[in-house]
Amino acid sequence: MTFRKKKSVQEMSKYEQRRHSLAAKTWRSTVISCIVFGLIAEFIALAFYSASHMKQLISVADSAAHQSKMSATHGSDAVGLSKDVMAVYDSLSDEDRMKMGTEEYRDFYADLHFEQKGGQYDTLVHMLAGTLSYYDVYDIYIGMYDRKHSAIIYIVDADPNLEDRYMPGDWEEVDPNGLDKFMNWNGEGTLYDVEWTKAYGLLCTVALPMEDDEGEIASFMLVDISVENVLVGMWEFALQLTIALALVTILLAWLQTRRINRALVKPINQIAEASVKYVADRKNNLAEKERFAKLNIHTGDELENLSLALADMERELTDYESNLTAITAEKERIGTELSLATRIQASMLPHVFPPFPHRKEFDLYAMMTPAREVGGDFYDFFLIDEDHLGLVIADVSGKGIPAALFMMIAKTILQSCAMLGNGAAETLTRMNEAFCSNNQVEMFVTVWLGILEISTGKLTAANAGHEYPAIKRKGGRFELFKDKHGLVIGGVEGMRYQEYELQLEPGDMLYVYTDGVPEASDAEEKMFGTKRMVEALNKIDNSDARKVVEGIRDSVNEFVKDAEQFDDITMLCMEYKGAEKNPEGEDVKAGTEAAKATLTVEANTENLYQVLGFVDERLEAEGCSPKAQMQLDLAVEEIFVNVANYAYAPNAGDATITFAVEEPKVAVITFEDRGVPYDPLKKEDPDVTLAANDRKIGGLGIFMVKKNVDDIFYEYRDEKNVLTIKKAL
Amino acid sequence: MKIEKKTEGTKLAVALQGRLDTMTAPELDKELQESIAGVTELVFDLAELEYVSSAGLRVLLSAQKVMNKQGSMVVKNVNEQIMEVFEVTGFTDILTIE
Repeated sequence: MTFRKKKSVQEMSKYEQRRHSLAAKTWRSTVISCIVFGLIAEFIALAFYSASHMKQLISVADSAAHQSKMSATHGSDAVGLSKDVMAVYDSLSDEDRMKMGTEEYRDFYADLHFEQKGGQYDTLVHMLAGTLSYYDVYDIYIGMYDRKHSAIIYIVDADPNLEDRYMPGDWEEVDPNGLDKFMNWNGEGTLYDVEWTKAYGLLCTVALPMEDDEGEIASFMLVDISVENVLVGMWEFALQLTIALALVTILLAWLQTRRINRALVKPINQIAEASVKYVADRKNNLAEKERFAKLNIHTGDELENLSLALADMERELTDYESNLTAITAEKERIGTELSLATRIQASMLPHVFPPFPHRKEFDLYAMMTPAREVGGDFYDFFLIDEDHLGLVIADVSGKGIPAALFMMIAKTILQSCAMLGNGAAETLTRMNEAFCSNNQVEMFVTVWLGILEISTGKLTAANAGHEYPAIKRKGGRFELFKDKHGLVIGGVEGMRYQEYELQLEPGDMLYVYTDGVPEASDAEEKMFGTKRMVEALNKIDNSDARKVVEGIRDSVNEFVKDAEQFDDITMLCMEYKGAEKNPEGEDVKAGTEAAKATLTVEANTENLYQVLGFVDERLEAEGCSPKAQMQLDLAVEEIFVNVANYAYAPNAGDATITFAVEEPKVAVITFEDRGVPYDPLKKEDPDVTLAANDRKIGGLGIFMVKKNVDDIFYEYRDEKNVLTIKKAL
Repeated sequence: MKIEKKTEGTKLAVALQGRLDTMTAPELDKELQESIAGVTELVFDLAELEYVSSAGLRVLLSAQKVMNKQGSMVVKNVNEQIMEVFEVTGFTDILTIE
């Protein structure tokens, strides 16, 4: 089924609009109702007209019949003549009767001597002809009816047209109904009958019976009048009436249309125009918002009400719209801020792996997947000093923004407390105090904090209501380590946390996690559980920290399948590799010490050649290839110029360059400054595929350094930026 | 660094010798700014250039940008090591090297 799309008013042509108009509809309906009304009125008028005309004619014919009857019965013996004629007629056999119109038929009546001048018949013909000429009737005659044959037998006919005149005894067939009506008349009113005849058209016959002395009907005095005249009169009358009605119709329709135009069409068009403009204003974002309010309609009826209601609606819409705009803007702002919060939170957690590339004593990997945009879980790790690594995994109660805010505070307090060199238990105790003193929202956080002494592998840890860590001894299997639990942080004021020690040997692994891992649920709300987690830890490839974390994430995902992630999932894995104390390592250390040289200069480009000279001197002593030397020169220049231009700007400060050679023949050059903390490696590489005009002047330096050395890493320690490059000579 | 400039009508030939680095690049920049107006053909001869750092590249890039508007620029006699610097930084796609 297809629907034809309705055209809008604007799409219509002028002609369609006019046809579409209420005025046209009013015009049409007025004309149609006037025509119907006119036809009915005309019909009724014609009926009355013809009836009264007929009545008048009949009364004239009736007078003629009465006068004729008077003359015929008193001035002459019409009854006697009638009886004589009928006597002959009745005596005829059917066969003889059919001979009507012939000489033979006339001979049957010869005895009555109609041709005799001054006789009965002759007198009667003249008498009737006299009356006929006086009255405006068609014919006057005397006749009698033959019931048996349904015929009229003419006695005397005064037809002025001699050729049409019937002779006495002539008969003619008539309608039996009219015959019955005449024969059975009860004497009341006027006796007449209207009949269609072939010869004379529509005829009206008025009759008066003439009785003999005994009261028997001997014959009828009959007067014919032509109804044709009535019809002609009626036609003329109808024509005049029609013209008059048509004129009235047109006038009425015109007046009505004008009225409708003024009272309905114009105001409606104004309203329609206002709405068209209103929509157009919206589309074009115009400030005009008073299209309906400006309408000037004072019809004092529903149309005025409509225009007022529309003006009200317009006002309401404008108000609503401005509210909506404000709300939408607010929502957008919240959305933007939330995504910003996600990024801030993500950037709060250390997320570059390996985090300390120059520290070969341990390997670390961690991951956080929040259930919502922002989460309450966090992991953290930091070097407290050269020999101590802090490891944190924590879970803030609740989810979303409140948890994230709480997490930020928790992370900051925890790290700054631990960095002060407090032990694990002391850090948690202080953190608890900080939280309890100002915790109005009743939130709490579970924390597992471990501090690893890198040189010995001694791990000091404290647990504030957090999950048990899992530990794998070298060559063994992961097992839960059921440590001593303290209460959650932010629970009870004045808690003192206990710490425990754990000796890690090279090859041992530590895995900590938040409850998001064991409590991850599948679609049937079955939990992953710690048992399944430990099994998974031993099933997956657990050869390094990253593989452990990613393997558990995959196992959880596989278990959960399509179910929605309910809680944040966070985990951290650390493998202790042990301090480098194999004989080879010792040699390296000794070698490094031997070849170490240091230069401290003011960080200023003026000193570039001094720095380059210092480096080149040592490179030449090591027998470096000219190509490698040029590449290292490039790197040194770029790094030093960078420090000189930015580290202390606009003040001045020192830069220290340390040159060392590691076996086998690797130059290690370190740049240290006490300027603003800045990791040049985080800077995005320039797009070297751009055309000249799209290239920015500059930004190439650090990129060229990366391209020209084998290894480069940055750290901020002891309030110093430390950038190290390595390159095989 | 030594800079040798030769002008023939609207053609400017610049021969560089030595190191184009942070210290010397401003010198070249100044020389170019003085002479580049009205030049439609700029030729750098790097036959004697030993070293170029990002500061040098910066000057070459701005010269290329100017010449893109008013004519053409050609760099010739680039040695292997400097060519490597150009390649790493994508300058081989920007400069016309002969």
